[in-house]
Amino acid sequence: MIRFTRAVSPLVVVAAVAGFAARAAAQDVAIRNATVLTISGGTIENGTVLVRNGKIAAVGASVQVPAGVQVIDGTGMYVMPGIIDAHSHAALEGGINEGSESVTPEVVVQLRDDDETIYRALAGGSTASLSLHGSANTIGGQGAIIKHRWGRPAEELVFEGAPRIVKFALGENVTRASSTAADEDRRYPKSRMGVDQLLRWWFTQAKEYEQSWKAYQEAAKRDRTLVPPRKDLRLQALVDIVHGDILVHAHSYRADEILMLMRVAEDFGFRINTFQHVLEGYKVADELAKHGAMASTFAEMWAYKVEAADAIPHNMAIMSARGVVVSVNSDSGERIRRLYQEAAMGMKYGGMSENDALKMITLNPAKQLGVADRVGSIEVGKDADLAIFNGHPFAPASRVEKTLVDGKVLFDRETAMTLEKLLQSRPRTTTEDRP
Amino acid sequence: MRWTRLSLPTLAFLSAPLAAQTELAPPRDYALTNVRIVIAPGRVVEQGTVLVRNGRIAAAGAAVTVPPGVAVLDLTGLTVYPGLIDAANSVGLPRVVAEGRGGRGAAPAAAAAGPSQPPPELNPGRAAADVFAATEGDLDGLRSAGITTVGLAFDGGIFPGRVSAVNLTGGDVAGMVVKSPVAQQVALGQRRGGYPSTGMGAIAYVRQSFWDAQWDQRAAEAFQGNPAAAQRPGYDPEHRALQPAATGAMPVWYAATSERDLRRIIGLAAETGVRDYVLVGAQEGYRTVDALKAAARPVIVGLSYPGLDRVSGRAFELHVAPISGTDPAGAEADSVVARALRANAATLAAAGIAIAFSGQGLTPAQFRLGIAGVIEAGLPADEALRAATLTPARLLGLEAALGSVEPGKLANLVVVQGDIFSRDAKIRHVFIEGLRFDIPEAAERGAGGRSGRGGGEGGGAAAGEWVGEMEGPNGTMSFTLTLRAEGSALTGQLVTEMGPVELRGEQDGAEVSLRGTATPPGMNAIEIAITASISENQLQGTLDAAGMATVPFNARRRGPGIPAPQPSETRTTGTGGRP
Repeated sequence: MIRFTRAVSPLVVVAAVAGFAARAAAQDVAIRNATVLTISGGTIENGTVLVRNGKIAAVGASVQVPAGVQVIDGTGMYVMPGIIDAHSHAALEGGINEGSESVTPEVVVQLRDDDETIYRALAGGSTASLSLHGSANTIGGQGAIIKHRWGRPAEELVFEGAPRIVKFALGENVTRASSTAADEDRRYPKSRMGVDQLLRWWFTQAKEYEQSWKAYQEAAKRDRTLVPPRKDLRLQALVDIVHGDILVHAHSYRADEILMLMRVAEDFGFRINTFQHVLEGYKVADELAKHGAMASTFAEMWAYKVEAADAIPHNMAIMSARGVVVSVNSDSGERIRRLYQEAAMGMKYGGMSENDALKMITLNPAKQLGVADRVGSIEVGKDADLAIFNGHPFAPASRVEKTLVDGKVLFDRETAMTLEKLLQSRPRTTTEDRP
Repeated sequence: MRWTRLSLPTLAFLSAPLAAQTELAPPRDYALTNVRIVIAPGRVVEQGTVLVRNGRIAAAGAAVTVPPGVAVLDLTGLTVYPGLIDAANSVGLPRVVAEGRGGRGAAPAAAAAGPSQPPPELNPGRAAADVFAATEGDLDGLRSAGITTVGLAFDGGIFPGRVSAVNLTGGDVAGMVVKSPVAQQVALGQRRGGYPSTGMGAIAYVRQSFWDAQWDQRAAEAFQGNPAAAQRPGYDPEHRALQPAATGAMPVWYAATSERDLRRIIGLAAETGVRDYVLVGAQEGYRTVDALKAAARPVIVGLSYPGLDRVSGRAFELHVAPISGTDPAGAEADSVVARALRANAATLAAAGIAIAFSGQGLTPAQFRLGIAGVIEAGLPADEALRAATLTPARLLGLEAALGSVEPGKLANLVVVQGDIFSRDAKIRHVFIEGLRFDIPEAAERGAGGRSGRGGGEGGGAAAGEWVGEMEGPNGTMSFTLTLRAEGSALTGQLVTEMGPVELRGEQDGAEVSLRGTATPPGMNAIEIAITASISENQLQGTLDAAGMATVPFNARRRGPGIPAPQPSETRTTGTGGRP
């Protein structure tokens, strides 16, 4: 195996070098008398969620709250796992698209901590997201799975231990179908055929690269003076994709391109983890399930371009019914504040159960991000990432009262920096409160 | 004014050989007597003599015997300091980002430069001294502020070239270069017309390039050692040029302004095995003290501060600022940020980090006054002097030759009436390698061009109509900018194919800052911030679309003979903001 890249994003390296700033001690807290939507274990009326050291310590109708634990009265409230967004571009800087070339998997997104989208997401109960490259490239680069730790430095937003994820893209954006540039100025590939071919060309390169390293490692056993092959970050990232060390999230619309990408992946021995957008997923739901691909889609966004024309709002329900793990995502700093309303449409269109609809913004995106062992449901041992609503999250008038990340209340409507309050007395979030 | 220049009009009428002879032999022997001598930070002789022989300091102290035949200058009431060093400045250097249209539709800068020329953003073998072309006006301006030595450093790019050190004697460049190359420059800039076109791409590119340079060296050594069996290495001029830096034989100067870029750079240096490096700019170093202390590397502190709205953490507050009317709370919050920026150097020095100063983006007078501001913000005066003399001399690899008034060093001296960093100080004379320059009264203020902006005089009215192009990640977009001025306040409108944006802002000298909110059809509102510099009929700067991209732009003043922009000939529709 080739392991020289250290398999870490630069962000992690920076964090290791800089050292994490001492984090405030997690507050032990208990939410009592609330309706607890556990997602994985049913709904508990008059339930209690006990949080200790940032983790869920107990859940149930008869949980004893130890002395010294701060109590949040949840009477009339609903508690659900923190909402997870499988597709956003929040908290990024240094570019979204490295559009100079079509295959750039070595390029890793760079995080910023002062994007107010993080705070707004918290105000909508959203506690984690996958911040991705744009869709200009066939293989755009590596995204970042973040927790919405508003107020902490950029490197602390990184969801520690989460897998690496790469963004692929297909169709009109990659081929620049709507470009008005002169033909000779346009970049290869210009067609869906070209995307297929380009992927195969690059993964063939990657196989050869891996082979050159294997040959070297074999030969180096006999001759220690041998010079290893040149390290190539781009090819190494492709090798890591083939080995499943980097999960593939692929921007897609049409059924034919979805099938094409699954064929390419199968030919090269890997799996597409999640198709993004995937508006025609309902046409190939069985094929998605067979391949083992998951799907992250919009509830009712379509017809904004030709390849998005053949969409139906029942997409989520149909794919779910066919055994595909489905999430609904924001891809927007606006929708990230109200993903619970998007999920509710799964019940309206196609008759998903309440819990299945809730899964589309909790456990299912957690699976797609490879963090379902940490978040996505209210279970003992999981991270205390929680959203507290003043009513059922699917009720139209409900809103988020408090949002907790790692057991810390990072949004509290009572003390929130709402726009009105900020205009009245502008609390400073800049220089002084950073140690 | 350099003394030899005084006679030039006369000399022009004389024979060339005589002129050459006169130029060749200016005196470099002086005795500066009855002068207060600041030998080095904390080492002061209240009244003494500095003896300069053949351009070097022969003696400095209270009891120095002046040999016969040496010109004596009685400097009673004045103080002599070591010459100031601007450690990193692009004065007299070509712009790294080439002129003309950019974007993916445009020819890459490399093609414009010629078939065998590397693009200016990726030209690591280029030494600043080899392309240095400052005007006499530039040099006069620098000397008038007491600056005798400059670390020439390119502004922008990714591998823009190598740092050189010059003494500002004037004359031919070869005679001015004290050391070249000094260091390899690295920045996280963007390349036009090719990979890497983004900051995140630059990080990947720098990482790969340093590894490549290290690997090239290893492959070459293996081939040297065993040509019969080892693979013959290839040749890549870019990697070859980076080899000294990548293998520890040459220091690296990394440019970074923001807190997060500083942390990224420190991580990148560690990842690529670079230990001998200097951080340049570091205007948000005060937010990064932990990482800078841990890295224990020197910092060349930029005295040109970012606009307050660009400072990390400030964006969120400004996002909710009232769109009209007075905002006293906002002004106060601004002043907190402004104070922290000015105290940056003091904060770093107090943390035990070695600092020098850079006047990049400032006029020479602003450089000296910027140091005065740093002292007012808490940096001890001795530490400020060290950061303008001994420390930059060390970073330029010239600690034995420059930075103090000690025997054996080059006679780079500043004679000042008053404290050199007080706001009312008057620079009276400058000596560079013993050459004497007398600074006329009132020459200091406003003299010289703003560095890094083409060396022009800078300035001009912002009001009027500007036409230009901006280079987004997805192509080139034409725009028209119409500005009205009322005092220093500006209002106006930016019109692109995305629609009009109302702007308000201000002009400060040659600098223009504007902000507004764009509401492209079918998209969320986008906060726009423009910072630009005016040079007569050119307006150059960047447009920041909050949370999306920072794009450079160039504009020309619209007037007779300047045609209106053609509607988006080569625009490529991008995918930003569209799923």
